[in-house]
Amino acid sequence: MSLFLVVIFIADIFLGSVNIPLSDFFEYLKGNGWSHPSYNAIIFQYRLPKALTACFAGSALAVSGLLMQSFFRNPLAGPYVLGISSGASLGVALLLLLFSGSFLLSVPLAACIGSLLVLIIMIWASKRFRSSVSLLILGLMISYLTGALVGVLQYFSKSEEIQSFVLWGLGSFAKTQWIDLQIMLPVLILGLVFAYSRSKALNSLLLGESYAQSLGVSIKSIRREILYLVGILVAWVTAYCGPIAFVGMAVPHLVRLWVEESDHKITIPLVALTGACIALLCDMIAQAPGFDVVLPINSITSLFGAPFVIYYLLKKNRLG
Amino acid sequence: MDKENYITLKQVTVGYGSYPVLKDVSFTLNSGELVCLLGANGKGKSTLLKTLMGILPSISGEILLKGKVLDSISAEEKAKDLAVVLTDSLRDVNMKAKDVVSTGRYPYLSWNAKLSKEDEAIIEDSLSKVGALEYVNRWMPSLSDGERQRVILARALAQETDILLLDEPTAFLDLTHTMELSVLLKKLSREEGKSIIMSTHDWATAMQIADRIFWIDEDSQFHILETETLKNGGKMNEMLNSPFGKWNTEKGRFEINFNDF
Repeated sequence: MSLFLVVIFIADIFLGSVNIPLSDFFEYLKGNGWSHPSYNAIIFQYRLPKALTACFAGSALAVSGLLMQSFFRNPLAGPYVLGISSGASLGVALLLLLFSGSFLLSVPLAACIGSLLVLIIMIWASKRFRSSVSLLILGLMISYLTGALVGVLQYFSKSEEIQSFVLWGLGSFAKTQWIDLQIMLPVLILGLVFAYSRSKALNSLLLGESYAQSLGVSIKSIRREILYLVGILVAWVTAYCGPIAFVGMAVPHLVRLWVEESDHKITIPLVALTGACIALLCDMIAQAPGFDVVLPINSITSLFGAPFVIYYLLKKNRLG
Repeated sequence: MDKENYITLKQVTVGYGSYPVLKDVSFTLNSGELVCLLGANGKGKSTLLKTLMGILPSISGEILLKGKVLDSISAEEKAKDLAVVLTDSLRDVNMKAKDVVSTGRYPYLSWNAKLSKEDEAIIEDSLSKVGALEYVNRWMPSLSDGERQRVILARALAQETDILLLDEPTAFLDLTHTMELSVLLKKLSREEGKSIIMSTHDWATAMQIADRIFWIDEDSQFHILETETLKNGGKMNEMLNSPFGKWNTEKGRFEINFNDF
């Protein structure tokens, strides 16, 4: 799996509207420089940050999805379905459209506030709604509500502001530069490590809150930890890359299809790796090799993610 | 073995929020005692057990676990003294049987939940005690209700606690496995000195295995009954309070009354 990640990481760097031959790269490694001077800038200023962004965004979203599925004990849980991405969108919309400005950390912070708000509502609801279906419907309703609010905001905004928000909403891994990565990566890496360190409590939570409590897990603190962790991971990714659908929900299922394991010590790293691979793959498809256009990443993940989730549910129903 | 006091309740009222389900419960439970908790549906058996487990706060009164106030004990510490079986069937839990039982060792493990050889041996021993060794690698959703119930029991045993609180552990078991479990629980209390409270609807089993019976009547009154006195007493008919059956003292069982209908 790690090997596969390295291969598509390199492939992702070399595919794009400007075709850079692989042989050039080996020449560069030997110290001979590039055959064209602009290649250096394309690789290091554009494609390398983009590939790194895709990797970590994919990992973070996928692990958030896994955490939510374990926490809600529901295979349909995920940052996009439960409206957490929409919450982040609303935060960003308020910032970009209403205050029409952004400074270094304002977009991620606005996204964090939005997503945490939705998460708090969802956790409050999860204690009151017995049925997980109601919970999912609530998540959809929150998505519609935030969508409507964003629509109203757009109606009253100037066209330049709308354009920057719409572009953000299409999703892209390509907007981050090294300076953004310096802020984005440490947060995501810390988040992933922290998720891994909670494997034991997460395993206990699979048995339900009462059993977890009887095993010495403090439900209050683990709930708070997962709330903040998922909120920050999703918000951070959403702030820099726009809302990205289905990676969070589908990747844990993809991993379950080929690894028969429930221990988070194993599933968290696997889901993170797979998330990174899927994000890179989607990015490559979005680059549409051979064509001069770049497709929005959010459409690509939905195009592949939605049919996969349907397939998974059908398969699960047949077995169960 | 010297009797040690494991659980003490003084004038405890249990319920949800401020709504009391069961009032004024007082008892002490010593090491090596096996108690069955009986009573009609909805009279507070599970509520009482959940309160003892520390999952539900009590409304009033005092609960002591090994001499310490229950609320003052940290969850980690409590997990080493007290293991539970809940009525949740864990049907949809996507875990292998072995992983479910492994969680029983978690109170003793550090953050990375690495099992030692000793832990592995305890897990295997727990599984074999309930006769669940053969499906150790099966997934929970693929097991039958009874098989799953045995895995859940093994999980509680693997926790190696002095106190076991079991909410209807025989609910999904067939007769053979109910008897097997009865023998196992009796052994655990006699030989290992464990204190066990199990709720059940099965009077016949309760009368045979319990040292004492805790009974919640129709008016939600809590009674403590000695099994021996019950066996020859007319109190059984008063408790059953049904025209459809009566207690046969000689045979030591309830018999259905077909004659008057």
